[in-house]
Amino acid sequence: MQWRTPWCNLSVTALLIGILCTILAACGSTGTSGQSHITLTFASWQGGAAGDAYQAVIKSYEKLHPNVTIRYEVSDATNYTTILNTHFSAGDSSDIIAFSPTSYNKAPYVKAGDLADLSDQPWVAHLQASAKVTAVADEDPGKSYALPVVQDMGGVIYNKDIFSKLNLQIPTTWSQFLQVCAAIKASGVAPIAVGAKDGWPLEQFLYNELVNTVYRDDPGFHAKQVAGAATYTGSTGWRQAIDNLVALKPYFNAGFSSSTFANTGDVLATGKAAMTVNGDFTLQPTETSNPNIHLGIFPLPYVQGSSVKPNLTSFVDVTLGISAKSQHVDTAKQFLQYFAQPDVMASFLTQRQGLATLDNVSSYKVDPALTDALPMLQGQSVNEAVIGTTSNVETAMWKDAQAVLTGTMTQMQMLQDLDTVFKS
Amino acid sequence: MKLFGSVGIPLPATLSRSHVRRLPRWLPDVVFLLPALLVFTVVVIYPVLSSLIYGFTDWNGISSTTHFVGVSNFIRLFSDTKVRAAFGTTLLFTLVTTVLQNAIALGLALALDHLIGWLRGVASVLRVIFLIPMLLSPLAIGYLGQYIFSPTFGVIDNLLIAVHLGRWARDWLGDPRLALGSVIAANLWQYVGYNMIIFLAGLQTVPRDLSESARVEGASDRQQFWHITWPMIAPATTISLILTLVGGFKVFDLIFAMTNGGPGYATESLVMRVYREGFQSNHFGYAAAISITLCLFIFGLSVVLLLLLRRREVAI
Repeated sequence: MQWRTPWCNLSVTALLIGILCTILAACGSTGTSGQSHITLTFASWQGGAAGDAYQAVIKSYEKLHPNVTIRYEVSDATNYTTILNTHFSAGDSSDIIAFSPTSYNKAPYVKAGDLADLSDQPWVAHLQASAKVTAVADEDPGKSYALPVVQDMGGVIYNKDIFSKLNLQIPTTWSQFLQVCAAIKASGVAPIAVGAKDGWPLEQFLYNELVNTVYRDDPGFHAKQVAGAATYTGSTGWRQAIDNLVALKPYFNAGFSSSTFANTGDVLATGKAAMTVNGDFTLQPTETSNPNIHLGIFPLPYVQGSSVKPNLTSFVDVTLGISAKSQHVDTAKQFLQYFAQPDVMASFLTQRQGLATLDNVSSYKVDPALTDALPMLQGQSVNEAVIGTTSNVETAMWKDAQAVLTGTMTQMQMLQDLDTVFKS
Repeated sequence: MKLFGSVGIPLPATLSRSHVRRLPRWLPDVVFLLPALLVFTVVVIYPVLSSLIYGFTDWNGISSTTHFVGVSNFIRLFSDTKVRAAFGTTLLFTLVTTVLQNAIALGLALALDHLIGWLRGVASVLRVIFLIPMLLSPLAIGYLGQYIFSPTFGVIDNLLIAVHLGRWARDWLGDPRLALGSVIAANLWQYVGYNMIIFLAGLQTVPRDLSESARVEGASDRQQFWHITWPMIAPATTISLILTLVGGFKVFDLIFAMTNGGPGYATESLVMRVYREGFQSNHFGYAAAISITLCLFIFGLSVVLLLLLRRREVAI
C-alpha cells in the first residue's frame, strides 16, 4: 500500500515504543514519597449515610498517604455473606473486610485461616470489654482478628411528635405497649413499620424480645446449646419471643411482607408509621429523609410486671478485618491503626452517629434521639453477642419468621428448624 | 480462489491444493472445534465434574480441607423438608408456566399468522413488541415486578384503587397464596413472546395449499387447526415445551429479584435452595448434591418428554 513508506514504518515503531513506555511507566508509577502506588479494596454492606462516614476516614487517610488508594465497595446487605464467601472461595477477597458480629460473623474465615492476626496492633489494648468479644476468635480469645469500629443500641424507635399528638406515654410493660399500638392504629397511623421482605429486620424484633425473655436471666444459654444441654425448642423464652412477634402482626404497616428496610425508613419519615423495632442505625436515614422529625428510642417492653425494667439491645455493628492473603497486609494494618486514632474515630462516630468501641475515644457527638436512652446502656441493656447465632441460623431465622408471620409455618416448626440448622 | 478443504476459507498463497490434500481429513474439523471445546471444557465440563465430586464431600466453600462423606448428602436431601418444599414449588411453577406459556404463545402466534392485508404490517410490529420483554434480563424484569406488584407504590393496586376496585388490591408478593402466581405472571410476560416466535416459525412450515383445500372442502377453522395445523407444528411444539420445561426447573433470577424466595419459603425454587445451602449456609457439598440430583431429574424428564413428543411427530 502507498502509505507504508520507511518514514511511516519508523513513525509507527516510535509510536508503539512510546505506548509501551507509557504502560510500563504506569505499572511502576511512584507516589510523591517515592513508594510504589498501592490500591486497597474495602468490602462492606454499609452504603448511604453510614457509608459516607467510612468514605470520610478513607479520604483523610489518602490525603496523608498519597501513594495509597482505598476503594470502598458496597454490596447488598441481604447477600453480603454470599458475596464474602464467593470472594474467599475464589481467593480474591478484598484487603479490608467489614464484618458484623451477629449477621456477618468473621468466625468461619478465622477458622479457615483467611484473616490476618491483628493481636499486636496498638488499639487492641484500648478495646472496651463489650467490643473485645467481637474482636477475638471464638477458639482463642487471646488473638484479635478485627477492629470493632462502632457500637449501636437497639429498641423501639418512635416518632415523638405522634406520641405527643396522641398523648401517649412510653410503655414500660407488654400490655401497655399493646395498648399504645392499638391507640396509634385507631388514629389511622400504622403503629409499627417493618421491612419483612429483607428478613433481617424481623431478627431485630426477636433479639429485642430475647434480651428480655431469655438472655437477661440466662446469659449462658448459647454455651448450653453448644454443649447440647439446651435447644431452641425447649426454651420457653424463645417460644415466647416468637409468639410476641406474631401478636404484633396486626400492628404492622400495610404490605409489611413485601416491604424492605428502606421502605421502613420512608414510612417512618413521612409519619405513616409511628414506630419500628431496630438498631439506632435506622435513625440517620430517617432523619435525612425528614430533618424535622423528632425520634426517640425505648426498650421493647417485654416484661409482665412493673418491677422488672425492660432491656435495650447493644451490639457492635461493624468490625474490620484484613485478608490474610492480601498483598498489602501492612498497609491495611496501618489504615486500621489510623482509623483507631482517638481523633479520627471521634470524627467518624460523630458522622456515623454511633457509640465508641475504644476506651480512649470520648469527644464525639451522638444523635439527640439517643440522649434519653444512653444512661440505660449501663445496667439496662444486653449485648446481642450473647445470643451467639451463626450466619446460617440467622438466615433460617429470617425466612422462618417470614413464614410464621404469613401463616405457612408454626412457631414450633420454626424452633425445630432453628435447632436443625444450629446442629448442622 | 484457493480454499481450505470445503469450508470456504481463503488459503495463504504458499499453501497449494496438493498440500491441503496431504492433510488428514479430520484436521479442519478438529481445528474448528478445538477453541469452542476448550472454552466448553473450562466453563462447563470442569465445573460439572467438580460439582459431582463436591457432592460426595462436606466442603464448606471456604475451608481448604474437605472430607469424603459418601452418599450421605444425597440421602439427606430426600428427607429435607425445605428441599421437598422447594421441589414442590418448582414443579408447580414449571407445570403452570409450561401449560400457560405455550397456550398463550400458540394463541398469539395463530392470531398473528392469520392477520392479512395491511394488518400483516401490524403483525410484524406486534411480534417485535411481544419479544421485547424477552430481551431484558430476568433480574430487570424481577425488579420491575417488585414495583408493579407493590401494595404501596405498585401500578396494579393503585390502578385498582383509582377505578374504585380497591377491595381487590392485595399484597401480591407478600401474601404466600398470591406470591407464586405473581412471579408466574411476570415470567409469562417475559417469555410468551419467545415461545410465540417458535410457534410462528412452525406455522410457516404449514403448506398454505393444504389449509386452502381443507377450506374448499368445507372444514371449519377448528377442524383445520386440529387436523392440519396442530399436527404440522408438532416439531415446534416439541422444542417449545422442552425449553419451557427446562427453563421452569432452572428458575432462579426472577424469583430472587421479585420475592427472594419469600415470604418465608412460599416461592423458593430448588435452584434457590441450592444457592442458600451453598452460599448462605456454607454447605457447598450438600448444595452440589442437590444440584446434581436436579440435573439428573431434568435430564431424565427431558428425555422421556422428548421421546413421547418425537413419537407423536413420527406418528404424524
